[in-house]
Amino acid sequence: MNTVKDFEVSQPPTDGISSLSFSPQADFLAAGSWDNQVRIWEVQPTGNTVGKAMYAHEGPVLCTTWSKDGTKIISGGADKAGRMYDVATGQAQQIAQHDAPIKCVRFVEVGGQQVVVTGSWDKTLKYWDTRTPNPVATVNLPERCYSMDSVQQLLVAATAERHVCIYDLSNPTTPFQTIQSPLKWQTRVISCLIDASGYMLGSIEGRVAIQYIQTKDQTNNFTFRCHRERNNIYAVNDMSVHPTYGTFSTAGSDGLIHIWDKGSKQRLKSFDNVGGTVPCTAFNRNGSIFAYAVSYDWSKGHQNIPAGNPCKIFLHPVLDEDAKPRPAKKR
Amino acid sequence: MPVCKFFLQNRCAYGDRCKFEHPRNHGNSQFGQSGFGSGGFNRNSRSGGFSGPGPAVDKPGAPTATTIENDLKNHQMMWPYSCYGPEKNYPNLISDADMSFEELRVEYYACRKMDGNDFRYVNSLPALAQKVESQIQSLSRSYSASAQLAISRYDKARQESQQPGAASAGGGAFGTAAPAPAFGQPSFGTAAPMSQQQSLGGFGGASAFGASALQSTAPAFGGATAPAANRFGALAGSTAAPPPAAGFGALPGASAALPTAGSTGFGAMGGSAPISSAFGNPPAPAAFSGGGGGRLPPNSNPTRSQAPPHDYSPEELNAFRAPNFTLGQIPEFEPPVDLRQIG
Repeated sequence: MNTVKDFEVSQPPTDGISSLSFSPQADFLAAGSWDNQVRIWEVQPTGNTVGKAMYAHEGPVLCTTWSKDGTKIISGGADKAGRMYDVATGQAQQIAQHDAPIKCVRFVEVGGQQVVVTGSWDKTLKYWDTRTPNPVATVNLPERCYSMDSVQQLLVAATAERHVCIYDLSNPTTPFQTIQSPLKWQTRVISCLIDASGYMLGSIEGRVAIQYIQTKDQTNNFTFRCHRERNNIYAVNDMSVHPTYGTFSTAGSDGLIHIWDKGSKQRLKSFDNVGGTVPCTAFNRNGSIFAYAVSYDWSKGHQNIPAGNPCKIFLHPVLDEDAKPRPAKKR
Repeated sequence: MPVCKFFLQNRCAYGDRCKFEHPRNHGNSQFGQSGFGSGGFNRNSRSGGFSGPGPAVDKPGAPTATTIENDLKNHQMMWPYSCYGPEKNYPNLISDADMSFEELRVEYYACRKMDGNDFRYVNSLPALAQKVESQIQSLSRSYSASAQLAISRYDKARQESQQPGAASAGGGAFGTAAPAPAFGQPSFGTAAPMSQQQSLGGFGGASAFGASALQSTAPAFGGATAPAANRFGALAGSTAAPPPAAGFGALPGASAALPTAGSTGFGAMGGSAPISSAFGNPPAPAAFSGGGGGRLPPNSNPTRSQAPPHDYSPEELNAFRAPNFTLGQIPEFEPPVDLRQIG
């Protein structure tokens, strides 16, 4: 059982976990929760976790991310606010504001500057210099922002109604490309490929699409099914990319987590069913730790909140065999 | 090697082990047969699997009546509040229907917080489901007409996207776009004086800058100081590999103690010194029990009396006057005094 071998994070959130993210500099884990809190733990070499800090939004937290230097955490929530927590001072302050809840946040680099990007259900992306109260730029999206990710100069945003907007951060306010999703049903998550050559989409219909951006690569686009069991089709809730291998995880409402190698088109690892829906996952900075949350994801509505509403976070020490690409099977 | 005729019919049982050739450019790649997931690709579409490789943006296989019928009759998803596009990159046939897990959950929490019950949330769900159901019903009257509709919408969208000024699809190589002046706003990179943030209207939090011991390293933006500019300048070409020495700058030794890429996290570090606490710099936030940086205790919510005064738009007033709220348009603030009813 994974749950025996994997390490359980101490003092977990008291309601569903919406977001997990590791510091790019050290083994610190941040989690956003529906209990309005952002919590930060230090992950010790033994696998033990020590709660280090906590700060609050005025509504459920929907997203978290770290600055590249590991000194700040930015979170967004249903209170329509983006907040920045300074790990050195222990102070949180509001740095972003939208007209609707903030669903996604990332630190990106634009013209050599570190900038915060927030994506909201108010159908905008906003770029923020964290020192000024007004956004540096606002970009209109065709619909409510459901998921966003960025690697290098590539920023991708997936919205309601199957829109996908692709931005080149050297020209961050004009969409480089806007397409309709290759998946037929509601988009759940978007994640950049590690080399910024494309992105992956996951939908509520247990399916993942790998999409390349350059026209010449698009013959390599493909989709595959996952998180299904006979006639039951579950949502793909999150995808995390291994920072060195570029392999990626999918986590679903079926309580399963898989790690895939898109190069050889194989499944590298399947976790045993974790006993609850998996809303979010994260690799640490070097891919040696894989964190996954087990808490209700609302996939069956309010009637099916599990008894006791269990909320846990586990840390899986990643073995090479879990995540290292393998040669393609012979045909 | 001869091509496997069963593979071409999408029903070769041997998959990777087949002794005949499974051509790569066929829609049903080996991906679907290598034990990947619990099934192969969608086999309904005319082009032999809508997920198959092929020109992605230019000419995806057009949807057929059969595809649409199968999709709409057989979908077994848990989540009913979804749009639907009949084929890869096609505009929606079921539109204005997406509602995510999180959106409904936020509505649920908002109702519970404001009303103390979930009646409004529950009452709003049938209308959302109906939005999808009614569209499925109208599409099911003639699946072939629905397929035609999908194709005409697709052609129309393509025409629009090819007009000058519209965003081009599949354009030049990514990353080669001429670097336009980023944002073009003077505030960017000109480093507003630190004191300004103290007066930001509505941003109540204490300033993280200024009072901090980190002052020499914290203002990383804008190149206000030479050291800061250098730190991020070094990042420019290699965002994938941040410099190890950054971070909790006062702790140069911390990153050296961390495992190298690819090694197993916990095990490899067994004998090494524990990571020194990066949060240990003064003022050290206490752990959870102490409240740390938290300004509110867990689960506390602003009380009603703290709700900010609000100017009501006609739509919002109508929302309060209506017998039922419409999900997605539920005001998240108190109604005006004259619309409050007791009992």
